[in-house]
Amino acid sequence: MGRLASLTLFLALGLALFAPGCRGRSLPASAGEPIRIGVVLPQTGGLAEDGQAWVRGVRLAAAEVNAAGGLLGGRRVELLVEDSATASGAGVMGAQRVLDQHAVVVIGDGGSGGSLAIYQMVTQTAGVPQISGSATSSSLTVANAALPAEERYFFRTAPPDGYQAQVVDRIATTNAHCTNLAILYQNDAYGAPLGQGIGDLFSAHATVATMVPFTPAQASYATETMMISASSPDCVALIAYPQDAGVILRNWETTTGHPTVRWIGTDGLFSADFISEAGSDMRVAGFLGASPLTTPDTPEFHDFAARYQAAYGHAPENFVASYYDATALALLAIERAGTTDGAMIRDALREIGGPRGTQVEHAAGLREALAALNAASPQVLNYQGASGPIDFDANGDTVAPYEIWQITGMPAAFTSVAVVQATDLMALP
Amino acid sequence: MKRFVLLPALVLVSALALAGCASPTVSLSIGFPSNEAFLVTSTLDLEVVPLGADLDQCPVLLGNAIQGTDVPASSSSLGLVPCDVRAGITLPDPGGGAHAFIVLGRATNGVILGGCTVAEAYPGAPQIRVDLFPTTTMGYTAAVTAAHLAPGSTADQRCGGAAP
Repeated sequence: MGRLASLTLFLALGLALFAPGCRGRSLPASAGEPIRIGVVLPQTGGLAEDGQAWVRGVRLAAAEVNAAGGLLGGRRVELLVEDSATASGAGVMGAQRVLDQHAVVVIGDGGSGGSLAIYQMVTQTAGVPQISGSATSSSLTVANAALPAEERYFFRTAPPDGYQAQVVDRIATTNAHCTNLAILYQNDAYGAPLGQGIGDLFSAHATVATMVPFTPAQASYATETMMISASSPDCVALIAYPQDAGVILRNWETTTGHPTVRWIGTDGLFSADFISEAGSDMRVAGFLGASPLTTPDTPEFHDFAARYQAAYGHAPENFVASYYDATALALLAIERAGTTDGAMIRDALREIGGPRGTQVEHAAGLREALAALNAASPQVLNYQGASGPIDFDANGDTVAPYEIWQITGMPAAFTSVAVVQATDLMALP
Repeated sequence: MKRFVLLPALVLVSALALAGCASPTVSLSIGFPSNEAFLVTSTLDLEVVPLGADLDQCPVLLGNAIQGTDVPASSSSLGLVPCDVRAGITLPDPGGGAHAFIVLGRATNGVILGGCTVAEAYPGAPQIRVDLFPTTTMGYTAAVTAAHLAPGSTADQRCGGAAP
């Protein structure tokens, strides 16, 4: 009886040990099994148009790796695309679905709020690296900094908003000559810290008329525009996504007695979708704004843009290069790690996305980088991205130049006013 | 004696574990319209899109895939080399329900071939077949002209041997 009990216990233990492994990400895969990458990006909602473009950047990197023979001895890369719907809840569920299907990295979310929710509720606890190409909130830096280094799994190829706040302050001061700035910001992980950062910087040398938060995805913002109008600003910094910004500008037109103001936007509005959502070229004429420069004048970007043009028939949109880089880094890190283990991929990301190592050409996509990793004498690779050099710091952040943009002309279009180099920005605390 | 008790137990545990963990797969084959089409295709993209009640979505999904717009929730294997999938491709079981299996063939001048099949995929199901057709006559002809194929070129020559 004792022996039977021992055997039963042995079997139960055996099953208990194996069962979590079946769901876990570290189960060794057979040689031919694809390596699955989760892509959780908005395909609907306020960032739909941007999100569809970002997926194309992800797809190009995956296609280049597969065409070069795949990863880890010939395993093909498979993308699992989930619509985060520009909403945190949908993104969390999408991220959980891709992890349930054994995704070993998550690319996304597009927005900061969605990225933070996915990180805190899904990827960080699962030990799966997550990389966003467009989430810029400083909340993500804070979230990572609160963790020991060995528990940090979030990276991004777009710089944190502490830098963008400096550029918006510079635009308000130097380009728009504002003296009384109102700040209208979406009340989430993206808008609130960026709005606060702009307010802190601007109030050090001029007056902040008012700071008004708004809830995204509402049918009307008449109350908020009345509050802005009542503060009599000469400029309004608008931190929003295109759909909401379109509603806000229409509401502003119908706000009785509104002053004439200069509008200043951020990266969330640097999209053709913003112009179409505004519904009139006149509404957006003269609009100024800031955005990380994701189309730099570098050989890496021009090579990427040519390959993107060949694949999709048009030039890459804003942040597409950042998503190509996010995916390229993830795939190269898997090859470098030699495994799909999350912690080892994370460590390889820090190496390849670090400042040291050999730089390789990207004229033929990622083939050369993979070859360098698999050379007889493997090299430490220093990935030079299409969107910029990409050097992650301890919190998975990177720094990049910013573009000051303006909307001009009929039909309305974005034009580049100036570039603020990364070296001209103050280091973040 | 103890060894004879433990050995079957180990086998049982392993069998149970493997049965629970092994990834079920489905098999898919890709049909090219001609030998010439196979030879001029650089890479293939495969999209697997879960469908709801509407099973007649292939025309729209294929059109969107060719345009690179409106990517629905899907799994994608992109940049596949034709020789590597000549004998078919094994995919992880995409889960229950009907799915659209969309394949694009790319040449140096863009997408030249496309095909879509709706099928219910499940482990042990018959092989799914996606037949490709030229997406535009002009693009296909341009790709063939640019490829400068030698007369009598064969798939075996391109792939370095017969399909496995």
